[in-house]
Amino acid sequence: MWSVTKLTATALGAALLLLGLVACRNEAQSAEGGGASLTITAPTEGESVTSPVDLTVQVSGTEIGPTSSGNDHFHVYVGDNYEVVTSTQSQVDLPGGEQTIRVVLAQANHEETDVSDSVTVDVTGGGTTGTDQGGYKYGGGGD
Amino acid sequence: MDTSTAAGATERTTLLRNRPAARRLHATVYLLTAFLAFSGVAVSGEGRPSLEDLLGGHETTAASHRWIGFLLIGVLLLVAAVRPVAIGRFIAESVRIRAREINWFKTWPRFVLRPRRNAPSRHEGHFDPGQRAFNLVVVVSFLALAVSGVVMSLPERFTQKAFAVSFDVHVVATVVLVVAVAGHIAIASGVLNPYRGVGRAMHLGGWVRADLARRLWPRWAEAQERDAPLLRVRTSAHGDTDQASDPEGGGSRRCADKELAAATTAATNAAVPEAIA
Repeated sequence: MWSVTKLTATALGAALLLLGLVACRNEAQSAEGGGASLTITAPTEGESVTSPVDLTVQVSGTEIGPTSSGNDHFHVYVGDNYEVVTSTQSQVDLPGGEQTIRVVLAQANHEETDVSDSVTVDVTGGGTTGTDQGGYKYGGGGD
Repeated sequence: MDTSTAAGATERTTLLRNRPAARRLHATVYLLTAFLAFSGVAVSGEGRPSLEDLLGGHETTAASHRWIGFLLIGVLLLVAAVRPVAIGRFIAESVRIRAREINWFKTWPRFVLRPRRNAPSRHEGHFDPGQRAFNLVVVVSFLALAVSGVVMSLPERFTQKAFAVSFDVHVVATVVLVVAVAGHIAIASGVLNPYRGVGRAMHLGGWVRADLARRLWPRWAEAQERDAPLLRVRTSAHGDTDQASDPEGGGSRRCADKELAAATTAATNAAVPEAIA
């Protein structure tokens, strides 16, 4: 017969394992985005733009807002740099030349989903010089 | 180290305040908590890339914050499962307060400012009243952080409103915990004169000078000296009873520690120590 201590420890371990499985299952679900979708409506694919460029994202099936509100938000990637954006409209500062802007939908706890979109644009003027700037400055205005 | 050969060498003793298990648990908790505090600040709001880059980026920082949080919860639950009596005693000692011990808080500022002329009001607990208040603040904060953290780690299991409330609770509990821990570190570091040397109760062996213990935890010290004489180490110092210039070292003491450790294990296994752990 197991002692009370062993039984309790086993029960707690099982509870933790179950919690972990629930969390993992939730990560799988959250990776699918829970039915949400997003589309970059501006700029358009192949457009010639000047920096900073106005970024507009159309999203359905979820709400976008600050992380403290419990709403989803975007992770906007340009090359290796990224920025957290809590609005469907923002400004992206880009270096010159051909650049790809990728927007990924993230949950309030910063877990990224599989929901994303990207556009490639030609930055012809006003671009920043460096690429390793540790994150661009984005305008995160209200929704 | 001995610095003089004056006659009438003063005999000093030390008492074992915390055993290795308690010290290991303490170190584990504060290391995990420190990581959680750093990663939480790094990922909060819209993130701080300069801090997040140290942990592998924004998403990695957020993920590690969640999983280290789960790890800390698991460690504390495991301890509660395997040492329920010790945990129960810790809670009981922390919530126990006697009306006359309220005076301790009134006398504490004078004790801190002029320790040689003032002693704190006597209390009867394993922890002094200030420690008890700190313990309760930490326990409540950890509970709030754990519950709110679990809710936030499962956003699809809870409503958006629940996440938002959990976020606010998490932030408030973090601030409260950080303030409490800052005070705890300030005292444990020995920056305040009357607490010089108290940090050794949780590090470097778990021992504390008997004279210091008598001032800070009088009833506990009396019980140790009465019930467990083998827990004392006698070291010879020459004419030095000043806390500020306490040499505290020497190979003879470390050798004595090792010999005593073996005796202590046998003695404490037989006794019913009041020390928690």
